[in-house]
Amino acid sequence: MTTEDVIAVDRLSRRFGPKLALDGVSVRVPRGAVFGLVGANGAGKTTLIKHLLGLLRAEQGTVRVFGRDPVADPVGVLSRVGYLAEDTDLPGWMTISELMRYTESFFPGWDRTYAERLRREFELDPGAKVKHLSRGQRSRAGLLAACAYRPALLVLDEPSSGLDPIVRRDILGAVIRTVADEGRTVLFSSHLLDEVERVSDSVALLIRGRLAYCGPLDDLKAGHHRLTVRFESGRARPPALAGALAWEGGGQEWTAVCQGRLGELQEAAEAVGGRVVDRGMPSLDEIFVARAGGNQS
Amino acid sequence: MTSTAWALAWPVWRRHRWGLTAVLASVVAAATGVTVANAVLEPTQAMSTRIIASLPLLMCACYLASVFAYGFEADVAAAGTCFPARQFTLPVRTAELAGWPILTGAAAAALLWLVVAGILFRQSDIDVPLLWPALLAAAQLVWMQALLWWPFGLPLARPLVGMLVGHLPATGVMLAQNLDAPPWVLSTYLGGALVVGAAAAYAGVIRARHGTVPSWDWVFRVGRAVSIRRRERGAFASATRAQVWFECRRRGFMLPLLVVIMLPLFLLPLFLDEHDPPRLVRSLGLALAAPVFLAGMAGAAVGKHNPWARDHYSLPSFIATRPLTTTQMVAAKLRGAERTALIAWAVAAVLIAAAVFLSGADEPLGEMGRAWLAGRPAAEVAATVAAVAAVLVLMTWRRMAENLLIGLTGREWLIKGSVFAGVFVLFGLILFGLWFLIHPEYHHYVPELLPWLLATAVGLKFAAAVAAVRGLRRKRLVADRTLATLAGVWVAVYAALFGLFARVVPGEVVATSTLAMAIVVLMPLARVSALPLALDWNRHR
Repeated sequence: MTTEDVIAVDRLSRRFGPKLALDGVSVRVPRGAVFGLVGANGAGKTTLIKHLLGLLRAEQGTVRVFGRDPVADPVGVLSRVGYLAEDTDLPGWMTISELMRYTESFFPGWDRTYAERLRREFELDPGAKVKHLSRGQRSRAGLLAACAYRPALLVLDEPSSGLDPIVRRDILGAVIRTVADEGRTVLFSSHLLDEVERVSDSVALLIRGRLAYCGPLDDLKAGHHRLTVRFESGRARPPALAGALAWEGGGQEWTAVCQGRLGELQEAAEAVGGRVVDRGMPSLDEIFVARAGGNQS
Repeated sequence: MTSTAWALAWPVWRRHRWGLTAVLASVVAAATGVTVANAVLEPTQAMSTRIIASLPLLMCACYLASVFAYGFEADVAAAGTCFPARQFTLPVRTAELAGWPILTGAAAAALLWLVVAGILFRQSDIDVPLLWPALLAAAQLVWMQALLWWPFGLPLARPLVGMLVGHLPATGVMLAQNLDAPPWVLSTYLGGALVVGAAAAYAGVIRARHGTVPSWDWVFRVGRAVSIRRRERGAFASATRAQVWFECRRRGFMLPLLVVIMLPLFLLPLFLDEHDPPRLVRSLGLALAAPVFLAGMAGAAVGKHNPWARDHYSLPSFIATRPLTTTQMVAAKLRGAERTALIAWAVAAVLIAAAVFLSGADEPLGEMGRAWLAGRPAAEVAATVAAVAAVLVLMTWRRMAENLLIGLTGREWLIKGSVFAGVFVLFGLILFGLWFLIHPEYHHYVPELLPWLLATAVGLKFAAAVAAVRGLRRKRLVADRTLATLAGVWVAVYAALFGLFARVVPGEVVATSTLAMAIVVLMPLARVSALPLALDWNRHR
């Protein structure tokens, strides 16, 4: 772990009964990064986040956040982390003003002016009880509690799943505001890959508990290509092309998401009797679907 | 599945097949035990065997009631119905949805009594009534269904209403028997109670299915007004104070509320019984013991972490991610329990004083007090009063604190298992107590065995405490210096209590060594020491 790494996870494995939820995952998140954690349901994203917060004890491997073990030193880690859980399990009996007053006491860096500004922006009634809020309002209340002390690390676990576009905009706004403060880091897990693509500069792809990729988003996209290949005659099945992760199409024209160098991929296409008629950079969504194997023919 | 009834009954059977089989096995075991007792024992001993054999069947009745009222999946504190919401979307009329469990439940409860009466009593030529107890069992079950299925619209309204009216079928019978009412009056009353309960249960399901929930807006308006006043308050002085506030606000009202609801029932004899000294002492003793008893229930409720969610066993991540050590979180719970115990005793003191004056018991009690005070030095009087007050508050706090332990582990299997184990131990103790009461030939062993039993309890308690402290040190949950301070406080409190009791209790009544051990047993130690370990196990899974 370098001094600039906010999160350092090494060979982390976790088993729940017969299910291996995490299998030797190693992740490093540098200071100041917006780090997207991407994976299908049950891929291990929440399990990894829970390890970072000390809610799960590492069975194998190590977890360090700000150089500390979150289980052994919860105060040292959690006092610098803002966390918004997927289910936003805030105490239902608290009013918004009580939630702000209670949360403020744990964080010396709580910014009352900023908290009040967020409350007004999010249109949260200070006298309203959390249990009477809609799901979107609860997410906003959780976001307020997680952001108002300007944490050094903001962790958002599926913050926008099931929410309307306005709340999602608020969440993305919080991410952008957090990174606007110099040196702050965001870890952001989401199903909505277009959001991850918009705000993340690094990503980790988790597939069935294993880390398929971890690094800069630009490198990931640069290493993948969408190629449309035309064949002389129609084909019932796509060809066995080295580097191709997923195919779609039929007959004479097939489109593949491929990993590798462009020149080598073009040569490989010609070797199987095809000709590259179109090429482009796939979206994160396409790369993820291709690598997760959900679209493989 | 060939009919709606079978389709509704099948999931119940699938889920409770082992429990229902155990009920059947209990009936068979009771019948066998009574047959054997009739054959080999003296008539008096055979009678006591029948009474003892009927007690597990009482437990079976409670189990059946929970099964047919869907009590095992109920969140009794919830504002809405406890009727399984998944059934509302079935293409079945509400009359069938509610009617089948009402009919089958009432029939099962009545049948259980008929079986008990038939195999335990009538088989031995003991003439027990059949109709009204069967109606009582059925009525009590449908009242439980009504309470669980009715959507009250307000959290905690269900247990409150249950405590106030849920026992009416049984208390009506007790009242009728006190008035020597004939059996037909009982049967008529219970028949009416059965109909009323069934109608309420059915109406509750109708309302719940249509989403008709009473509006309590005025309560929320008052709440909002209060919270607007609170908004003006500043931040807490520290994180630990905020956490103590959280614990007090979350469930701190539970014990004082239970005292307000339940203590009047304990004080009722002051208004009904004659004011002779033994009855007064018994009634006041029960009233003083009530908050201590209720503290156990309140502690178990406080131990639940997430009462606003169905899965309330694990620690919510919002709480688990507070930047506090696990020990600070436990300390906040213990401070909250301390405040709650003091508030509950303040409430209890006001209620007891009011009951004593309003019932006219103040005069005989004053006379008893003057007689007791006469010839006693002021120091002894002060020591006695201080000892009793300290023990009552300490015991209340201890029961609350120790009952947190299982809940703090956050393990569903442990929490549910401990409830079942507790019920079995309780029944075992009741059975043993009954057996012991009807066998006076063994009573003389008590004074001989008591010191040994206490010594064993003290040994076990210290062994458990040592194990807990080793765990705390190994996990570095509590600093050695804090442990030494807490041990010092424990010894100081122990010494103070021992000094007080040694002054109050004559040595010839209770030996000093027995007293010393009894106070160790009374003092909180092992389970309280293990609280941080339990929460740590839950927080860092």
